[in-house]
Amino acid sequence: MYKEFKTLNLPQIDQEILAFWDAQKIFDRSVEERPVENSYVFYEGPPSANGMPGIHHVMARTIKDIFCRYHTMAGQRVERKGGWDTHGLPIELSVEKELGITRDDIGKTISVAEYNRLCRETVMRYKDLWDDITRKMGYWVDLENPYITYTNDYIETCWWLLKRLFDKGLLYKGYTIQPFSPAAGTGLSSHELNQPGAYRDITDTSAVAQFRIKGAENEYFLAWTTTPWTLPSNTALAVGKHITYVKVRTFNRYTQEPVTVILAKDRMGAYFTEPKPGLKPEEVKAGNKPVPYLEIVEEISGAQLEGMEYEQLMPYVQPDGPAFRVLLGDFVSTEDGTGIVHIAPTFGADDFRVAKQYGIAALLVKDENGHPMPLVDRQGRFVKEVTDFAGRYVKDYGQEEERPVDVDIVIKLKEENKLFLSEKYLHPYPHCWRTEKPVLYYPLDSWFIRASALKERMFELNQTINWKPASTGEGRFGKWLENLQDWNLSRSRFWGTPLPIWRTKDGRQDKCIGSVAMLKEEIEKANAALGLAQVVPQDLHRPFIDEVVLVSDAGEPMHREPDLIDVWFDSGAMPYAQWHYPFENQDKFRQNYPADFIAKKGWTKPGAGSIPSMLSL
Amino acid sequence: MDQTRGWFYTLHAIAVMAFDSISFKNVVSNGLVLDKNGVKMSKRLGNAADPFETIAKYGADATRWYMISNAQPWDNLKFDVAGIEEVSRRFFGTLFNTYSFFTLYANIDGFRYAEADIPVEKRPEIDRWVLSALNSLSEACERSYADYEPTEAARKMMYFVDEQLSNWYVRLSRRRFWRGEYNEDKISAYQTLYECLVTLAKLMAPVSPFFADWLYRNLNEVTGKELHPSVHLALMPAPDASHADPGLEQRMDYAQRIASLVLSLRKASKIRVRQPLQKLLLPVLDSQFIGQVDEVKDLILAEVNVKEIEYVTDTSGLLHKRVKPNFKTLGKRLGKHMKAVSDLLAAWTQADIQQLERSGQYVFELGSESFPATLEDFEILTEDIPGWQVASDNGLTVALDVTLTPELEAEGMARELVNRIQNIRKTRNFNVTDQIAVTLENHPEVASAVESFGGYIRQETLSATLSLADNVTEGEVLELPNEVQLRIRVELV
Repeated sequence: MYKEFKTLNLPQIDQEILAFWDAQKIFDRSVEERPVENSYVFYEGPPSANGMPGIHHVMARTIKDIFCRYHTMAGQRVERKGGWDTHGLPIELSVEKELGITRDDIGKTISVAEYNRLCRETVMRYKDLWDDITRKMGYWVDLENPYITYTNDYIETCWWLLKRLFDKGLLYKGYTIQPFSPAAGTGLSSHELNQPGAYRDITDTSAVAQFRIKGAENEYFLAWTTTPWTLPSNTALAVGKHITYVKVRTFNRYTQEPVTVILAKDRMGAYFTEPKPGLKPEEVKAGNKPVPYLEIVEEISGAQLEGMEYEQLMPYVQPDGPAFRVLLGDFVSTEDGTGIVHIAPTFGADDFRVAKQYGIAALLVKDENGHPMPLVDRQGRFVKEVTDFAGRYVKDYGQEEERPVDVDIVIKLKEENKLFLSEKYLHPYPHCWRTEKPVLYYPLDSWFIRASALKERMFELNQTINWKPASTGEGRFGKWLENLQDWNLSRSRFWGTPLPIWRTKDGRQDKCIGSVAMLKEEIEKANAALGLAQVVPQDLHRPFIDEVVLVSDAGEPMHREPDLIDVWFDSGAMPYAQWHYPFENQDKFRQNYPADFIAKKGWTKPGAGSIPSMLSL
Repeated sequence: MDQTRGWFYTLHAIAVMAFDSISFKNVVSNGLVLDKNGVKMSKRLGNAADPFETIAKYGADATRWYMISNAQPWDNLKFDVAGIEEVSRRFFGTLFNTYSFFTLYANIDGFRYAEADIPVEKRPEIDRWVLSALNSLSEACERSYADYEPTEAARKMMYFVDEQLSNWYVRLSRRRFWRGEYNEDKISAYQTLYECLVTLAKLMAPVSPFFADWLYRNLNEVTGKELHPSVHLALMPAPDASHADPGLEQRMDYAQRIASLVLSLRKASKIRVRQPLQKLLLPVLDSQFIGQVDEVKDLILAEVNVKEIEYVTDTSGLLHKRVKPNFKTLGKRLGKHMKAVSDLLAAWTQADIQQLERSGQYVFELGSESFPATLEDFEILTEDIPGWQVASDNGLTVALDVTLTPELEAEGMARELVNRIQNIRKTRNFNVTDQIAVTLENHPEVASAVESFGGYIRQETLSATLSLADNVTEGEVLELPNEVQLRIRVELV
């Protein structure tokens, strides 16, 4: 007799079938009964068990499950090794929050060893819930032998991959301006800034500042910025070679002083209405609207302005070299602002580049260890040398204050007859994807992967990949590869895969460690040369790995570069690291590479276009 | 943690830089799951759906099926539990009812699939049709799965289960299961329905692994036809060319679509199905059309309760059509040319429109560019003619004569009476062979029905006598169309 039922009870069917699958080991059989030679390779992009499973995970896993089940029923062997993503900022931030500490406390009120122990414990907190939802939704994945990114084996494969890149000359250390999250205390990579929702509309105070030309009475360059907090760091102004500029006689709307200002002819309309001979100072007292002017005195090309000097706008710190000059920049446009761009070499990528090219100094102070640093510290606060604003946060990091420091800077400029105009300005601004706090462009000494060197090849190989939908692969991903920047690998954090590079104090020699065996060998060399008794740490994480001293070929001690690597490197390394390749499972790896199929939450509309530099802001 | 595009990039970058290789061949990018109003789910807003609760309440399969059938994986999903309920009822519920229908009669008849397969060519047309449709479904689903298009596969299965299997095959074959002896026709019906169910179990297994295994196991437990204890160890059904009959599928598709157009016209004109109508007109689509429709003519006429079909090759005098661009599909592609296209179409003659309907395609030549377009890029509107109702579906047009003659009205009333009398027989638990005597309260509309169709009514209801009386005091009160209300007395004789 066929079983008959009064009503359909789907949850009841779930229970019966789950019990049947368990009892008869149907999942195992569905894999094992298919021949190895006819494999369909699936890579599991692992979740972090640090967060609770949500309904979107059910969606993502349904998609993965469908194709794995279909290919099983098409006769293929579909092994599904599960995995856990265990490193990175989200875990660190949740531990910080629970302990009620900030990044600065780590290593002070709590040891790095203890902190990392808590991270390791926390990261699997919701594993049981994850296992439960996995089972209940019918997602078939091997949870018995998952890969876990914090294990020494996983880290060793990451090291091996990094060594391979190092040997190909694809790793380098550079001092550059990078997106930096003061709230997280670490630099971010450009793909992190491309996270959906990273760009958010915020209202800033914009300023058109008057930079007084040297050797002239009341003549000023006008430059526009949406980040007045970078003005104390100004050391140059950039103009366009082929842009036409005008000298305009008028009055300052705040002080009613007579002034002659220089700006791009094409930008006149944004600030001025019409010439008015006999104009009275009080006629330009109006709020933010364009005002009449007396006359245009002269037209000048950008090329003629090059090399002119001006007086420092906010003289808190003196430069150690030439500064306060007009440069030519190919990035200057007349789309907005005044056609003259304020350059703060410490806070913008283009600024940094053009200043270096002209030999213009940056404004730096010395930190407590005597190392040079910019006028804003790594927490996002002005240094003490910027006396009027010392200790003030330059962006909104949740501090309590009467008004943002940008506003106080603008008020000060106004009082000193250095402000031509100030307005509120609504624009998309990048935020840290984890702390949700504003990002700064900040000078950092970081390790990079020279990804840009291979962008053509990445683009080319991407075209052999079948993307669903095709537009994502050809469009967004392809376009992104075309404009690929180098991959900022450094993270100034604690819980993650340590960067396996040791360096001499003078920075002249580097050694990249590609395996535990190599580490052992190098430790032994160092022990012999330096009279030490070190052993390979049981745990390859910080702080233990930090204590290992190696020796250069010239006999100098070498210390590990203190950075961790971007956690995204961990996930990108999973095809190799899940098998501890090449140290184990070489056949297994070869049978399972490349994947036939992967799926992940994808590419939704970004909040804004490319990453703005200080110049375009 | 939300690993978004980062993973696609780092997998690719490391593979290219370290191995000059790709690391994945196919990738499916997933969309977001939003709440039903399209707002991002968040703890703060309290609009996040709890996956544990959802699965506990609706089951994993309904949740999975809803997510996959509702939106393509890469599009954002507006998550609404009403959609899960709908899938649960309309898809799983319908399939469950079909399974229940099968088991009810198969258990009565002891069908265990012990007999040899009846060769397909020996099965009745309706069986051959559903097997051909099933075969097409298998091919389409496998193609969709292989192309990473699960939404397509799910929607095709939904169409098959609802429109083809339940609402057409089972409905039209019902009597074969419940009547008569256990003969070849009945065995053919059982074998055919069984095959539909077990094949569906396999096709749906990737999306709804629980229900699929339940269905497969329940069927196989009795027949032992399958080699595997679980559907997930089985192979996808191999397409069987001997089952494919595209001509049959086409004419049944005509039958279904014509019937559905006529029923929609009846609904729009508020003419109940029991009311016979005289005629429907079918504009001829191609040279095979008349032959194809003629083969399913009886089926169509019985389904829609119309007396005759007339084919028309020249519809110009009968149907006046207008054509407009479909802004939804053409707007994006043609952009600035839309105005020119509107003007062009406004000038089209009836012959131009007919040509478009026949070929199903058209190429716009605009400036130096060509834009190929298909039927869905056009909106074809038909203007009504008095006494007729017209409807179209994807090139197929039906004109229904809605004129009610006294003769047709009387017949309609006769059918209503048959229906009511049969209901009375049922509620009173009369034996199917019991003869009855029927007395109806006099009423002009009922009188003409009894006068013209008395024989038909008596025959259908096994009534020895059928009489009219001015004053019926006992018996039931009948509610008939046109607000006719009267008493009826039914007695055993």
